[in-house]
Parts: sequence; structure tokens; C-alpha cells
Amino acid sequence: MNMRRNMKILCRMMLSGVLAFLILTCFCFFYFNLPPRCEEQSGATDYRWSEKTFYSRWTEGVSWGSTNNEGYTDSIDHLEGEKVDVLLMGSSHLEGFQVPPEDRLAARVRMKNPEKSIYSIGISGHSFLICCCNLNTALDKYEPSEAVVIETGSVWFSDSELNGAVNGSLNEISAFSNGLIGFLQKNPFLRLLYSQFQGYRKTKSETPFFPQYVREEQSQAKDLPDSELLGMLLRKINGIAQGHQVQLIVIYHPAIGLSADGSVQRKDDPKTVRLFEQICVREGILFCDMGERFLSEYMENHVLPYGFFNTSVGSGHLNRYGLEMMAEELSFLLGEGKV
Amino acid sequence: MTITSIPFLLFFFFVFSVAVLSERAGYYRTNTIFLVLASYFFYAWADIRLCLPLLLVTASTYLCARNISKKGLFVVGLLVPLAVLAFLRHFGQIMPLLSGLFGGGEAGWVIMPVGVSFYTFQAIGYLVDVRRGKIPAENDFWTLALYFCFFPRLEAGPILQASVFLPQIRDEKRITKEKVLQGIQIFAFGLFKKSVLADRLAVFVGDVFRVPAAYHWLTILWAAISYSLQIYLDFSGYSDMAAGCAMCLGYDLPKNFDLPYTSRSVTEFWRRWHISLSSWFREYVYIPLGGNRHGLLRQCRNLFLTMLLCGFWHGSGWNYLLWGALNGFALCLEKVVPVKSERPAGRILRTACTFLFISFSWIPFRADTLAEAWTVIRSVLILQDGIRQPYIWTAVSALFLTVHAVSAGRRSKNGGVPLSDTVPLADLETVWGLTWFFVELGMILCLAFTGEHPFVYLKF
Repeated sequence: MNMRRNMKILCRMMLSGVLAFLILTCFCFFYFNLPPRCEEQSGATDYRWSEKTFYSRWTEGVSWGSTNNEGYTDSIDHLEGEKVDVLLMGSSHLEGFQVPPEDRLAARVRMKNPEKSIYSIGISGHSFLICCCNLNTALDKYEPSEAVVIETGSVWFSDSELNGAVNGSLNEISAFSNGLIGFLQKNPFLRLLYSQFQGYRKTKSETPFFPQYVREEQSQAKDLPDSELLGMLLRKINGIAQGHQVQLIVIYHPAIGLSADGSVQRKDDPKTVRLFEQICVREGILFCDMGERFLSEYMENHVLPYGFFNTSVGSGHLNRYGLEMMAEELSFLLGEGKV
Repeated sequence: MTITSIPFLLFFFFVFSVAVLSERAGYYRTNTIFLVLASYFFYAWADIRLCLPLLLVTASTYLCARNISKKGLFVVGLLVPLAVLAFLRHFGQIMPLLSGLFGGGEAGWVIMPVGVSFYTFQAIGYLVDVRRGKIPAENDFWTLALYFCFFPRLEAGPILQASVFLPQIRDEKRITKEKVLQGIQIFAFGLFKKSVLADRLAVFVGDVFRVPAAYHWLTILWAAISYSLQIYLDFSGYSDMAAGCAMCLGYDLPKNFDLPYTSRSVTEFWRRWHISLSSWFREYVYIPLGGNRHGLLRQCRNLFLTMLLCGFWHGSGWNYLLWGALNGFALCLEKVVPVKSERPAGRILRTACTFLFISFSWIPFRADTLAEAWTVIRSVLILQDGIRQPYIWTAVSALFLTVHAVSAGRRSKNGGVPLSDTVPLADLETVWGLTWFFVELGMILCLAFTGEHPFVYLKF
């Protein structure tokens, strides 16, 4: 009798568990639903999203849509052999899961330069150094005719990071597309649970599944990066760009913070930025520092480039104002004959 | 080990298991002793130094209550918790000075007096009640110790009345299946309020109050409203969790909040907000001052002094005194100019006005200093330009509280639970009830803010 009653309770719990799981999966399908990750065979990026797949994300900003035919978040498809004038590479800021597709950097630059073919392969976790490692393959694949742009939120790198990028020995970001993890990431509820778990462990920087947060400038109170190694790296990537006959542009967006008096300040180290800029100029790389633009925009219009209506003010990913500022600066560089 | 943390859940599971086993075996006294030891362990986890004043207050109160007829001992019994409260509240300022005098370093002296106010107030209330002959002095030390240190409410209340709680400790059969099923649901509801809503509101409120000079006046108003919602969701969430844990262990904690933002006057608000503290101040401060016995003027004076003292209890800064004074002034005004309107529009208007006043009064409470509070208020008064930042979680929280208030009201109208039983409970013995509960747990896991935001009332 007792056994039967316990079995009944167990069955009831299992049935309720399954029903609740289904309800939560439906909820997460709209609330936090990233496409599954896939291997990117060409190596233009370390991984890509599943192609032509619905996504929806409400945890930071709000956006939904579907990935393009290559598994990137650019709103246009790219067919093999199709002409590309400007190729954009970068991280989750460029990927723009936080803003609607028409507000992303590539879409905005395209709108300002309708005569140019602009394509973005920005994807989460692809920091400046990873983009450097993938640059050659990306240029081989897309063959841009005018410029390649690398977006970065940091210009400070440790010696080991720089060495890794110069030697091409940086760890690749895994797609985790096979096995149990590959299977589990197809369920949005489990995926959100994983993300929450990572947040709970305070590893909000580079996690295997969700490399989503900007790494704040680490150069405060640290040594300058090794100028020789940095020079080698920038020389190497500019050589790759020149080999493909395109201009290399690095667009840098520093983190900014509010001061007690209500003004804003850059959070990065000016010496590090100056060093990076000097080496870029020496090597013939166009360096676009968004810092001053961010500050002046705040002074004039009280607009911050980061943050959303459902997250902390002024921190996190670039919002539509920040992306618009970057699009304007980039369009200026592309349109003023500097490229 | 805060009540929302995974270590706490593990700790609670262990305590619950032992409590169930010892009750089944009929070891009730052992269970009481075990709960005392577990509570001290819980408190020691926060800061082991805090256990000593708790033990001191417990021992002195126990001894003085047993000899309550001697006036001197009664006074000593009152002075010990007051001294402990004053000392621990100002420990941070006193100890660096002393260590400076004796050449020691300042490091290591920082101590957060978590929950000290709550057990010291209980001690004072208990002694007064014994002295008044309302309750007999407790003979069993462990029973009294558990009354002071019961871990679910140790950190942030509610303040327990001895006449209500001591009989529960003495009662032999406590843990029942019904109570456990209700307890876990009440805990989950509180966890949702705290981890999902209050912690997310804390992000925005913290941003705006940190640099009010940077924000547009509408954003600042939005932040003030957000703080009203945050402090309620935070504190009532804690109270719900404490009540849920206690219920699983077979104890009933008093309700601490009764939909306070549906109040139509400040007077009604204080009957519904932090009920255990308001009751304590009414019982041991307002009534001894004379209450409403000697005319309107004296009543207003007593009300104002009581609220001023309530402000001082929250902190010795001028901002807390201003908060107390504002509320005291509003209470007096309502006594002098009573407003009564039974028309629906009038009721809604009064509710809205009360909420706006309470939100305004929270500004000095939230600010660190009076100067900061003035900066915030001034920014609104001069219609300051700045960052326009809407925050969606404020709207979500307001919607949640509105639905909650309406559904609680409807349930009471249908003859079900009274309005004051504000936690929606499902029948966990049905598939749908259990599904609802699992969905609630899943939503907490999905939506919980994963950063660090301590309970607002821990510092009191």
C-alpha cells in the first residue's frame, strides 16, 4: 500500500516536472534563445551560429530575428564569391544580440554608405587578438576590396596573449557542437540555466557558451603592454591586410564611467591607448578611438554608449547610441577617401 | 551565508532533516537544543564575534527575568541589550579610535551588526512583558535562547513576541506535512521577490543614487519609485523566506507586511509595513509615552517622537531622522485633518498620494547622508537635465505587485484566505499544483539576478 502510494507520488512529480520543463522551455524560447553553435570550417571565425535560425534575447536590451545563411547576425546573406567592399570583424558588440538587426553596426554603416557592400562576421568572444589570428583566413574567404575593420573594446594585452597571437597559438573558442553539451545547448531553458550558473560563479567574462560581457579595460594600474610584441603583432596583421590589398582599420571603444559630479570619464589608461595608436600610425593602420566622441556626445546630449533599459546604466554592451556613433565615425573614414 | 544562498539551502536541508528525525523519535528537547546550536552556527558563519553579544543578551535577560521583581535587575536587564545595541552599532567608529590609542592597527575591526537590533528589541520586549505580568518568566534557558536566536529570522526579523513564540517552542508536535508544503511555497515566493525583482531594482537604484547629478529629473523620480518597490520586495521577500523556513520547522512567524502600498493613508501604511517593528514601537514606546490618552496635541507629540525614535533606530545619520520626522509629521497631519472618502476615485487618489509620499520619504532613507538626499531632491525640484534612462524592471515589479494585491483582495472577497494571507499557495498534491510550483522554481532560476545585493535590512 505504502509502495503504491509512493509510486503515485513519484509519477505525479515526474509528470509535473516534464510539464514544467516544457512550459519553461516555451518561455525561454522567447526570453533567451540563442542559436546552437556550429564549427566554422573556413576558420574565418572560431565558430558560428546555426544558419537561418530564430533567436530571441531579452536579458540585455531586446532583440529577435534569425541568423543569416552563414550563421552570423548580419541582416543580409552572403553567397560564395559575392563582392564585399568592407569586412567587419569583432566581438559581441559587433554581433549586436542586444539591439534589433537594423540598429547593428553593419546595418548602420551600410545605410550611410549604400554604394558599398559591407558585411559583418562579428561574433561573441572574438576579441581583438582572436580576430588577428583569424584575419588571414577571413580575408581569403571574403576577399574585401577596400577595407577590413576590427572592432575592439580593449587595447591592453598581456605578454602571453601577445605571444599567442603573434605565433598563432592562442586557444580557439570551441563550438561545443558535439556530444551531450551540443545536444543540451539546443534547449533554451537549459542554456539559460547554464548562463545563470556562470553568472552565479561570477565568471561573467569569457565562458565557453556565453562570452558576452565586455572585458573592461584592464590596463589601470598595470604595466604598459610590451611595445615590441605589440609592434610585431600589428606589423603582422597589417602585412596580411596589405597582402590582400585592403586597408586595415581598428575601431576602439573604451569603457566609460560616471564621476560623482555627473561628468563622464574614460576608464582606460591613456598611456596604453597612446602606445597602441602610435604603433598603428607607424605601421599604417587606421586607428579610430571612440573615446572622445563618447565623451562629447554625453556632454551635448547626455547619451551613454553602453547600457540598456533592463541592465545597469552605462555598462555592458554597446547600445544603439554607441553603435550609431561608431557607424558615423566609420562612415567618415570610409567616405572621406581615407580608405 | 545569506538566506538566498546555496550554502544556506544545504544548511537548512540538514537542519530540517535532523529536526524531522528528532521529532519522529520524540526528542523534543534535544530538537530545541539542536536548533539553538544550529542558529549559533548560522550566526557564527556571518561573523563569529557576533555570537558573544547574543549569548550575553540571552544570559542576562534570562537571569534578570527570573528576578524581575527586583527593580535594579530589571533596569540592568534593559541596559544590557541597549548597551550591546549601541556598542555594536558604533563598533566601527569606536574600535579604530581605541586601537589608535593603544597603537594597534585598524584592520580587522570592521564588524557588521547583522540582526542585533532584532534580538535586542525582543529582549527588551520580553523583560517588559514579564515585568508587567503579561507572561511568566521562562524557566528553560534553551527555550529562551531559541526565542532570541531562531536562525530563519535572526538576521532581519521579524521581531517575535514572546507571548506568541515561546508557547510554540514548548509545544511538542510541530512539523507536519501541510506546514512543510506551505513553507516551501512561501519560501519560494519570497525568493522570487528578492532574487528576481528586488535585486534587479537595486541595480538601477544604486546607479542613480550613486551619481544623481548625472540624471534627468524624471529618471530620478523613477529611481525613487524603484526604491520604494525594491525595499518592499527585498524586506517582505526576506520575511516570507524566514516564515517559510520557520513553517517547515513547525513554527509560525507573524506576518510582517500586509500589502502596504495599497494603504490609503500613512497611518494605514504603518499598520501594514514592518508590522512587528511598528507593533514593538507602539507597545513599548508610543503607549508608555501616553499614546492617545491625553488629547490630540499630546497624541501628536507621542506619534512624532515615536517616529523620530524609529528613524534613529535605523541609523544615527540626519537622513534617518529626517525620514522619521517626515513620517511622524504625516501621521500627525492625518490625526489633525482626517480625510475620508469612500468613492472609488477618492480611494484610488488617496492610495496614489500615500504611495507618492512614502516614495518621497524613502529618498533620505536611501541616501547615505542628508546632503546626498538633498542632492537627489534638488535634482527633481530644479527639473535637472541629464541621462534619460527608463528601467523596465520597475514596471515589471509594479505590475507584479498590482496583480498580487488584486488577486489577494479577490481571494479574500471570495471567502477564502483573508487579505493578510498574501502568498499564493498551490495544492502540491495535484499535478497542476506541483507543475505551477516547479514553474515558479524554474522562473526563479532563469530570472534571478546573479550578482551580489545584500538584504537592505541586514544593516539594521
